[in-house]
Amino acid sequence: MKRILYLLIISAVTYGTTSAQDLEDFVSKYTDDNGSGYLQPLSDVFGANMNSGWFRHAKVNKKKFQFYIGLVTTGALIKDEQQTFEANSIYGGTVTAPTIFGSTEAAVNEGPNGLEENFPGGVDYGLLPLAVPQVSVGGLFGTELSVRWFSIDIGDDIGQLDVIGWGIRHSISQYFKLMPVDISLAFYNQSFELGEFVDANARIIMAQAGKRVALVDFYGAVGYEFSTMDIQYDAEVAGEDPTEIRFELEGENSLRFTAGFMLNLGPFKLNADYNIGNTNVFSLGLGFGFGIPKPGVL
Amino acid sequence: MKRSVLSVAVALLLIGTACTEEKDIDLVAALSNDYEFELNTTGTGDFNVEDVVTDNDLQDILNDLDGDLLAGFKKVSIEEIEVEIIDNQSSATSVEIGVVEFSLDGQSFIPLLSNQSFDIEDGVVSVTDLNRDGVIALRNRLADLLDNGNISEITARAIGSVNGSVNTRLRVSLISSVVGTQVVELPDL
Repeated sequence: MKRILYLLIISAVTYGTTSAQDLEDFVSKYTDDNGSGYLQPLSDVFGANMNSGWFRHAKVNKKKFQFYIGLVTTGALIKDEQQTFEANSIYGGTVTAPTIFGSTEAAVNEGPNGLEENFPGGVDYGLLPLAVPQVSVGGLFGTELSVRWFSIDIGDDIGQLDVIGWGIRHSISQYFKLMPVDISLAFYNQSFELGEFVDANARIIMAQAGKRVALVDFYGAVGYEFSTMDIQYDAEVAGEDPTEIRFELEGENSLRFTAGFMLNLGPFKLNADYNIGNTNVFSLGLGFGFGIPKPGVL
Repeated sequence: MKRSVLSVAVALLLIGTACTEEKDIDLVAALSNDYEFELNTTGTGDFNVEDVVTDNDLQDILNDLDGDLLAGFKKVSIEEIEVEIIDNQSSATSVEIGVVEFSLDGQSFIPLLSNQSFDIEDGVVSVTDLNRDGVIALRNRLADLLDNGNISEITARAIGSVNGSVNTRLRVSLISSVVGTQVVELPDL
């Protein structure tokens, strides 16, 4: 199970360095429903993170080449209700237990006749960041392509971490003269694979709008998002052969609203936005770009 | 202006990477020990059988706990006691259990189950009428030994009688879990 923690840790620190050794037993007693409940917020939060920060203005040139390269950092805010879940008790009924983001304290459920069951603690996080480089190229028939990519060998029996994303958006406002704001429709898809243990995917379709005022592009969007996370690990119970646990978590994210702005400092672009959905996410971006003119200039 | 942009870039890159903090996280490891007793009698016969989980088996458990967990040992719980009649190929119809009791490291036996009668129908019997004082005593004794990081053997004993048994076995399963504190270095978010 330490591999799952690796996922969490790696994403949180922009693929940084920390040791999560010796955590194999972290949720080894969890199987099926309780394992899903424990990790479900990870899928929700991760999906929301991956669906964020894709755009920083709504302008896509009809003919003129435009280019952006930068680092996108997102931070998903973990809600209180994502820090606990109702675990199935072996004595019947349910008991409130920490999720992977919940309290570090184990939950104890007292059963009949002195019996009691224990549920592991979490990492007690209120925020999960993610960072990934992104390149966007546009200007052909009012269409732009975006790509995200990151790959690193984690080692330590974990394997390769691959973050791959792509997106396409098309200018709608190019078809309308004197449109006061830029409008685009977009679809973005991103996957996150960690060895053989985690395969996460997030997709979002959105309508974007934006307008530049002086040096600042203000932008917003409404979108619908989907995410899944396949998890596979060996549950280890002492005295028994390891049991392979596999389950798919479907993100509970759905409708998403975005509002933000980008500061144009010549070729340097600095943007920030906030996303309201099932999981709220803020996004910060810093990059280099050109070919993004003011509205009305195609 | 370039200087301030650079400052922001550095700040972005350092998000989540510059600081880490240590957190004490409660881990839970599940332990399951099975004890099997042969109840080979004909007609109605009494049994008084013992089975021992010895040093090797327990060492596996301790290895699975990885040492670190025990280093931060916090508590142990008895989660379930199960009794199962298996491999019933004959005319056995019922089992009278006088007592199921456990001993740790050769200490005195602690009774967990007394005077239970099972009709053999489904072949599996879950026991809920446990001896509360016995469960708590076993839990405390297990905690004392785990706190010292050493258990060499757990002995289970069952005494009772079986009606018409050939090739019938009694399996007693002791399922417990250990909570330990792991110090984990995590990003300071």
